[in-house]
Amino acid sequence: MFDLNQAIDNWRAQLGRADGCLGDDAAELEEHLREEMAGLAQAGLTEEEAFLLSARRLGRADLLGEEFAKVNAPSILLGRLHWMGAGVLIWMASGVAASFAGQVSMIEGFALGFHPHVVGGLTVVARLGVLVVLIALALGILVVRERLVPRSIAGRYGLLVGIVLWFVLLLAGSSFCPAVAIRMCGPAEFGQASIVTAIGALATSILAPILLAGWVLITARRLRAA
Amino acid sequence: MACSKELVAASATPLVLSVLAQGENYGYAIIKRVAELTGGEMQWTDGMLYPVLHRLEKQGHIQSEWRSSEGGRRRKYYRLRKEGARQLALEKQKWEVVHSALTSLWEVKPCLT
Repeated sequence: MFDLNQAIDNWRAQLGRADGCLGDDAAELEEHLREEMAGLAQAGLTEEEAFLLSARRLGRADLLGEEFAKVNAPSILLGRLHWMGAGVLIWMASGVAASFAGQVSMIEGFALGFHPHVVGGLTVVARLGVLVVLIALALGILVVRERLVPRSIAGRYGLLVGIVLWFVLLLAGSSFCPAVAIRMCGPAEFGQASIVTAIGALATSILAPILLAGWVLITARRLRAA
Repeated sequence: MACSKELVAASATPLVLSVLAQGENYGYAIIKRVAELTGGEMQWTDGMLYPVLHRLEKQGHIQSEWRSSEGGRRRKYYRLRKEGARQLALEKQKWEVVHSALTSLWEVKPCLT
């Protein structure tokens, strides 16, 4: 049984995948489609026939997307720049958040009376854990962003979130927490724990770019194969 | 005989501006009017005229407004602006040059003696 609303939803999803349609472009095309269908239905076509013929007369979604992309080029570029800025800021904020988690775990470790080396190890684990979770979250948002927020405002929204995250975490992670930690344990223990943290941070800084490059290479190969 | 994509693209601007010079209208009706005038000889799908409308709007030649029709349908109406009328006059001059050049060539009967 032909479901018109489903068919129109699919058709609009196809238009959405073609990168060029912005704002109410798709709504305007849908109005055209419905008007054409109404005319064909009056001429005696079934709903399904009218839909198929109208969609065909309107043109292929990818070709329409290409034409719209030419008109919308400045807005599309701006949206991409916003996302780039948001990506850089969120990446930096993730680093700051990881360091914040490390500092908090250091305070907790000292509060629970752990050996400074154990506390240092704890901060490395906390940093890495938060970093991995945040990056996974950022990738997840990237995948579903088009369903969460309209494409035209998504980049701006991401940029704003990035800036806020960055400032809040920077303030908390790099000034407030070390002050608390050093008051709780004394300079010698703080130093011992910090050495372990520093070794962990060094290992992460060396490993992260290698892992990232590997991931990019594997993804590129997979895309080429597909 | 069907017009090439390039010819359609070149003539789309004066066609759309001329249709709107006869009064404001919405996308579907503009496209049907163009199709009717060209007798379906344009090798282009209906949807392709929307990017043309949007480009003309960005250039300031026309302006648009969403309105509801009596049937409850939402339609985006386009209207010619002063800049558009000026552009149409320019387009007219250009196309008349092409038209008169071709007509004068085609009207000359070859002399075979």
